[in-house]
Amino acid sequence: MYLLEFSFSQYVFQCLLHSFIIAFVIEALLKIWREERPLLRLRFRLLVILIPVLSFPLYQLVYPQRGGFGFRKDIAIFDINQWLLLRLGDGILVWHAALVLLGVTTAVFLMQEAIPILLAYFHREASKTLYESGTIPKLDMILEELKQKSSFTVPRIFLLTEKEPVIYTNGIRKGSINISLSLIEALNREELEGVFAHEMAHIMRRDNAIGWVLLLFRFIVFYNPVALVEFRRIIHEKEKLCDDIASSLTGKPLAFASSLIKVFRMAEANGVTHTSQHNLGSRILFIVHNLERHSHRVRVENRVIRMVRPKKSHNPPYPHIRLGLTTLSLILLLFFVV
Amino acid sequence: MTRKAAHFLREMWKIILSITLVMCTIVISLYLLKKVPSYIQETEEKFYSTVEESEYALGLRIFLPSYFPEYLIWPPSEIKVVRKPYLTISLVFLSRSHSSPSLVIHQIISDNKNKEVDLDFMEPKRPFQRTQVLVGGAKGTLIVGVGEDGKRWAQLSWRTVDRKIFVIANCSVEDLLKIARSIH
Repeated sequence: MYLLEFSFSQYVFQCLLHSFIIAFVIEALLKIWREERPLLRLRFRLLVILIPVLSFPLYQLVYPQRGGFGFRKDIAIFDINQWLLLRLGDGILVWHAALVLLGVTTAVFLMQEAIPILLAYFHREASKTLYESGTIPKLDMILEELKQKSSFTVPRIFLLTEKEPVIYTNGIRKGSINISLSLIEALNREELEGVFAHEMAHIMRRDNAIGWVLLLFRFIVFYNPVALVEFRRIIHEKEKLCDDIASSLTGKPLAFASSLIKVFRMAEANGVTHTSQHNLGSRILFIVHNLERHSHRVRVENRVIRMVRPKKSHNPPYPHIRLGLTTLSLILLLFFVV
Repeated sequence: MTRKAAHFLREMWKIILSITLVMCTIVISLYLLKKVPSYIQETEEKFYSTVEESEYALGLRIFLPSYFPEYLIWPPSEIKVVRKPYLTISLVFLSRSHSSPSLVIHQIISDNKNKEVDLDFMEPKRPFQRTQVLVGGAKGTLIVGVGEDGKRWAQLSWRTVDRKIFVIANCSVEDLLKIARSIH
């Protein structure tokens, strides 16, 4: 209970509460405005991660008495401390349940984000070779075509020897594309052109640099379940945005959709594991694994449907004013939520 | 007004209206949610971190001693409120020398003078002195005895208009009387 008096725990719980509120507001406004453009949806969703991290120190700086009892009692619209001190059962407070939630989120973050990202980074960095033109004719033709279609310089290509079908970009100032040989073999020319255009879109948009900044914020709010969900949604919006760029660059959305399905099926075939379900730990892992697979499948389906049956765009006007006014209103509202 | 300006104003009106609607929904929901904990905890025991906070939650003033010996630590280390069977506010003060509870003030809110508040857990386990003393014009009962911890404890209880007060301390009887008589 006395931990509530420390600024850090106040920061953590306010960050959590503010994320919930922002996520709700953003979701409602995107629905009301029928905003479907991935870039704008992405910008709105970024508010869920950025505002809670920065708002608490900013508010404390502007009005140091904000955390005091007088403010919470007379001025605040909502005081989370009142809820955290509610008794759930024998000696168990809401505060304890909230700690468990934060603990579970931290474990999910470590197991599914932090450790896999670091492992993949070091593992892949070690096993790649620079592609020299003339080695794979199919790849040369695609790169030449993309060079003609866009004014963008084709980045360096690295080949990966791993069995899994992967393609990704890296490099902050000078981007490069990494692709596994298995993927080059599996996709036809049009499909491969689509995935290359998609990766080039990531480089054009400097997604890697932005991604690292975003990841830094994600690491800061590792305990926050709302940030966990929103971070994935932001990644998904980024992918959709690059899908659109790739589709307009190549003019072949169906070939790109086909490549998405192929990559998904290959990944599924490689990743199927028969986990023993005799003990509770294995059962939990099995359920988590299946949930992950299901959510991945839904995300891929969603991207494929967008390519195959593109919706008529609604495009509400003045998106920057919408974003600005929403941000201002949220900053104002959250000042009174402690 | 040009057509473009009219379109801009119409769109701005829609934007502001939609943001206001969502924000109002959030504000009303949060305001209602702020009221819920006090209703839920009507019969529960609850801890507060400051006297002001507990006064705000209960909507009444908590009596405090104006005489406070130096060997006790201010503020109270624990502020507990129990709603049933009687609304009871307990303040626990620690000793500066051994950081263990040395003064406990219980305030049982009940204006029914005929209904005697019976909370025998408060009495020293082995009383060896029981006398009547005056506390601010009211008749109080002073009990001195040995507590569960083997130390000498003294308890003074009396009734005011709206509450019964118990002051229990392991200090001298003189100090206990001074503390009790300064409570208002």
